[in-house]
Amino acid sequence: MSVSIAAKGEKEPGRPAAPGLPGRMSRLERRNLRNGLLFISPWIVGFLAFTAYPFIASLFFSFTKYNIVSSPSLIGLSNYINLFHDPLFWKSIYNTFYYTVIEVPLSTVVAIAIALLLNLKIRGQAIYRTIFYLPSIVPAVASSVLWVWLFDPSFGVINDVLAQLGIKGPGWLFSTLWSKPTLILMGLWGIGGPIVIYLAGLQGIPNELYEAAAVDGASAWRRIRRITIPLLSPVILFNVILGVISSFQYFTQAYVMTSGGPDNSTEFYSLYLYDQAFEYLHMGYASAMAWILFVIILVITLVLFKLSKRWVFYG
Amino acid sequence: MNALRTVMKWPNPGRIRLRLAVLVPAALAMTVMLAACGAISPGSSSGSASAVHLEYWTMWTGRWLALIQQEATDFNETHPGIQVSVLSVPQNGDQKLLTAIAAGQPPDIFTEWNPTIGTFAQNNAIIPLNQFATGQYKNAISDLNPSAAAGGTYKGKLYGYPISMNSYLLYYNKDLMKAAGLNPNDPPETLAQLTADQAKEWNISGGRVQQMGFYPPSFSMLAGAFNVHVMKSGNYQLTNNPQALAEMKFIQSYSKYPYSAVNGFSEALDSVGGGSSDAFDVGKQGFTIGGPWEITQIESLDPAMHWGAIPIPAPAGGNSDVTMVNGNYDIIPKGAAHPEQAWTFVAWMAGINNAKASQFLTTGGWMPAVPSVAEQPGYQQWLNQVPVRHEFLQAFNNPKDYTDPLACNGEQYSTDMGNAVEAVLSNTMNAEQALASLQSNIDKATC
Repeated sequence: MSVSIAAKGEKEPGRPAAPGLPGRMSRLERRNLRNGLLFISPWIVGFLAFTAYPFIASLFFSFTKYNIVSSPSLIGLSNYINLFHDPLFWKSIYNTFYYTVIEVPLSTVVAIAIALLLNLKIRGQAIYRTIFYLPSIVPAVASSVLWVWLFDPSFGVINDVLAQLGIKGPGWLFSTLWSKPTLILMGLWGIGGPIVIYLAGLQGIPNELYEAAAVDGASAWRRIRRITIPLLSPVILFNVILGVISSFQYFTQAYVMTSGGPDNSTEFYSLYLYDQAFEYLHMGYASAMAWILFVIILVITLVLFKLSKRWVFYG
Repeated sequence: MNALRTVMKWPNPGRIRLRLAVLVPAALAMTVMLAACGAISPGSSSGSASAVHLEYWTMWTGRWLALIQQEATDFNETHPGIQVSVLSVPQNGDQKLLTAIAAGQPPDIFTEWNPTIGTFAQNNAIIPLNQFATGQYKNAISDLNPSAAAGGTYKGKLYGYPISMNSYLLYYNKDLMKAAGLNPNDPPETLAQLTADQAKEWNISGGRVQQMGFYPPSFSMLAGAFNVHVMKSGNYQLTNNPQALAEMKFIQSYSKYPYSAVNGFSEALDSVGGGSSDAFDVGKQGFTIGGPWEITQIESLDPAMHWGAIPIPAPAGGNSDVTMVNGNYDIIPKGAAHPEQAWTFVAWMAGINNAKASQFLTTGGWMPAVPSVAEQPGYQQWLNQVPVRHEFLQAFNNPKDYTDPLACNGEQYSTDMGNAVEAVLSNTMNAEQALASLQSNIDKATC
């Protein structure tokens, strides 16, 4: 009697290959793999050329003086050191944190509140849902131009309405005091995406829980606090993380509506990064900024994940 | 059928579909890549086969682009050996140009505005044009209007050839002057008088601007009148500069008007008509500094307006009859395929060996950088049509005119100066603080 004992890690002869191991694939599997890779090759090439390579290259450029036209020259940590002595860098950090700290919680609360309303079983609900989602499909540039007119201190509809109520409207985008709050208010215009996600989350909460709570005499507010919010918490975490990331990359509206003004009050981080890269050709400096932004977002995301253990309920 | 397929060696239809599904996108992708890399040359079939083809990029759009295209057509008709193709790159044209230069496939000519030329020159992205000033072009640089040439000169070499220039006067609305109790036939001749007169024209109610008097447009616009020189020994010098401080203090005197309301009012009116109008054009501003094109705008937007234009008033001890000079400069990028032919087109566009140059300049309302163009009958006729146009030309020819000097960090200076003026007008800083902050920023700006 012969006993075949395979060494650890070896496969016994005659045993079919584990799925997914190219060396042991059948001809059909290899062909399928090849065809699959060919089909997704445009994406792979695009990813390598337009995401992976620039990502790695920007790290190298962040240690260089580089202006696109001439070859980059290594300057060590100078870009990073100079950044910390650049007042506009700190101002852009302040502006970005200001926007994020107010906009993300505000849009989260408003989006959840609207999603709760859109989750009610009333007539014409589909129409309401469409209305609230509609602004999200308007291109950011088009809606920005529209809002510039709405917020215009002299000709804008908003100040017209305030004047009718006897309130003297502020300078909105043209005021150093009001420019950031104006952009935050305008940010609520585009919360249709998070609303849809919250709505999906709300519809995933079993009805029996509400029925049981109602039988126990729980008020509507208590049901929201004790059932809805805990069961929605993974969705809230998801939207908050996305919101934080997009807030730190806030660019289009500020670029179109204020160009960073007045008096740099809307010079957000990404806008300043863009100016450094494409207005002043300081590609190395801008790359250093990009990496600092990456680290900031990474740290905040990790902190959010860490803190989420205290309040996110995964059922 | 399967047997026949086997005999005839036809592949399985499923496999054909699969191969097509893989090959067709691959072929398309290859075509796109080849086209992008220039293997397929667009427009190579147009014009004479032996002619040199020049790529000319411009950031102009709309009727201005049509004007440029007409220029190219006229040039092509008179220069059979050279064919110019115009490409409009309206958004982020500078970045596209730099990318093209870095990729080794720049256009032959690019029209640029002043501030960026210094940055490009410092980075060897464009070539100096002095090398072409030989033979029939030996006076092509020395004959240029000095203020126009200054806007294209970096470290003693001309990098941007001025093709069409701007000159400015103070426009005044006679109707608004009359309504404010001023004599419409006695416009202000000094800046102090202008400040006093315009104050009577403002109308602000409920925090909202209904009508403006005068408002300082930019630092550069009045720098000539204040005899400001922003550079000393090749570096920006904004502090310990009495003239710069005097001008900034003049600007600060307008901080009594609510900045956000004024800015909102003027920007809203600026954006009417695609950004080609302003508060003055529509009869909502008493005084403004503008170029010859304002005349066309007024005729179009408020033809009933009674207006006049005079040289920019001077402060006490300042320069009178001066203007800021800026405009459009042709540059030849490093790596351009046909720099010699590009120069021929650039010089022709500016008016050298071009009997029809006045047509281009008068349509755009521009001053000629090549002085001889002003003598062309077409240009003289245009000046005589509206006599005040002579005033623009006279101001343009004043040797004390102000041109923003080129610097490697000129773009940054331009942005920072705009911020300084904004800070002063919005009462965030006083004149001294704004200039000190500007100096500090620009000192840190690397090239």
